[in-house]
Amino acid sequence: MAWYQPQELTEALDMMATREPVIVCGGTDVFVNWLRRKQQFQGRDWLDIHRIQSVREIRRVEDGLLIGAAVNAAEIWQSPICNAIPSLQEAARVVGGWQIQNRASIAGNVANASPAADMMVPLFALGARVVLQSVQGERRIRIEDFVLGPKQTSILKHELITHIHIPETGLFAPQTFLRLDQRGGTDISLVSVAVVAKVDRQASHVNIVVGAASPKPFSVPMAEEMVHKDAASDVMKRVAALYAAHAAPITDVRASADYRRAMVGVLVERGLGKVLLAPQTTTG
Amino acid sequence: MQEQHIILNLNGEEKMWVGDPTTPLADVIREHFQLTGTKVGCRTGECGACTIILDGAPMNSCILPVAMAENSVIQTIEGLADDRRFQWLVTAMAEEGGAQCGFCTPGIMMTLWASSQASHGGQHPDYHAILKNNLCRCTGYQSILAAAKRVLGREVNAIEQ
Repeated sequence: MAWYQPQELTEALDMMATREPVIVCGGTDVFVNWLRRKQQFQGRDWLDIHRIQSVREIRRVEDGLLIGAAVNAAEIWQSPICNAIPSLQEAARVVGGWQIQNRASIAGNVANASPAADMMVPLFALGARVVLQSVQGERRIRIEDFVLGPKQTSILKHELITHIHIPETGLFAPQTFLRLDQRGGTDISLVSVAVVAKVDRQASHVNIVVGAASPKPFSVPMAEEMVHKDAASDVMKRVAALYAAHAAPITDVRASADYRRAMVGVLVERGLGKVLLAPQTTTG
Repeated sequence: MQEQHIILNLNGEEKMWVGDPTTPLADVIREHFQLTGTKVGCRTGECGACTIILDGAPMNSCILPVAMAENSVIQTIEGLADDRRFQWLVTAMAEEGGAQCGFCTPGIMMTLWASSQASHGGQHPDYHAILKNNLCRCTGYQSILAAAKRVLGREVNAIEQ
C-alpha cells in the first residue's frame, strides 16, 4: 500500500493498467469514507491525480469547453471561461462551503454518482460528455450513459476520468441551476433543477434536468417537447406537473418523498420561468 | 501503508515529517508540530474548526491527507499572529463578542482572514456564504458577522487611504 502522486498523465494511466488504486483528487468524499471505513480500502494503493497539470486546466476547444478532472468547484465559479456556463457555476457555488469548494473536484462529483450531486445536474442539461482515458486510448461517453444509478457508473476497470467536455450548444445559452436545501449551506440538496435553452433564443428547445429526486438526474422528453411547441405559462405549469409525476424521490432524514415530489414541480416551473421569461443577460 | 518522507512548508518554515501519507493534515499539525490552535471537530469536513489555509485557499485539514499538502504553502492560525490585518480581526472579534467557548474561533478567523486576501471572483464577499462551512454553537453568528463586516470596512478604508 503506497501513495502515488504522478506529475504526468501517462504515469497515472500506466499505474491504472496494472493496479486498482483508490483515485483521489480533492478527497472530500473518498477520504471521509476512508477515515470511517478503513477496512474497505485494505491493501489498496492511492493515486493522487491533483498534481497532473493536464487535468487541472479549463480550456476553450473547437467544439466547446474542456474541464480537467481535477478542476475544483471554486475554480469553476471563479473561472472567466466558465462564465459561458453559468448553470454549472451556480451549482459549483453551492457545493458544500468555501473550504469544500476549494478541494471538491468536478470528476469526483461525477464519479461518485450521488443522486444528490449538484454539479451533475447542469452537466446533464448541458449535454456534457465524460472523457475517459486508459493505456488503450480515449473514449467519450454522454454523462447520462456514464451514470447508471446511485454510486454506479459505467467506468471500466483501467479507466480514469481525465476531462468533462461541454458541447458548444450549451455555451452562452440561457440557463439556470436552482436548488432547495434546509440550511442554504453545507447540507445536501433536497431537490435541484437545471434548465438550459438552445442558443437560438427562440426557446425552441430546452433541456430540463432534475436532481436528488430519483436514482440519477432525470429529464422527461415529452414535457421538454411541450415547451418546444409553446412556452406559455400554463404550459410551464403542465410541464412542472409532468416532472413531479415522473420523479421517484425517497423519504429520508432530510425530507419526505411527497415533499420532494411537490418541490420538483415548484423548481421546474421556477427554473423555466427564469430561463424563458426573464430578459437574457448572458454576455459573450 | 508505506511510510513517506514529506516536506511541508508550514507557516513559512520547511518541516520534515515521516509517516503514513494518509494521515489527516490536522493531526500532523496538532500532534507532531504541536500547533494546537487548529481544532478538530467533526472529522468529516463539515464544522470548519480545522480550517487552515493552503496556497491562499481555506480548507478543512481534517479531511486532507498530509501527502496532498506537500509542495504547498500551509498557514495555521499561529502563523498569522504578526499579521496586521489578522490583529484587526482579533480586535473586532473581541469587541463584538464573536467568541464564547472559543472552539470554532480559530477556524472562523482563518476563513475570514482568507476572505480578506481573496478576490471572490471580483464580487463583494458575502459573509454568510463565506462562513457556511464554519459552525458555531454558542454565538448565534450575529456577533461574528458584525466583526467580519467591521474588518472589511477597515480594509476598504485602509485601501482608500
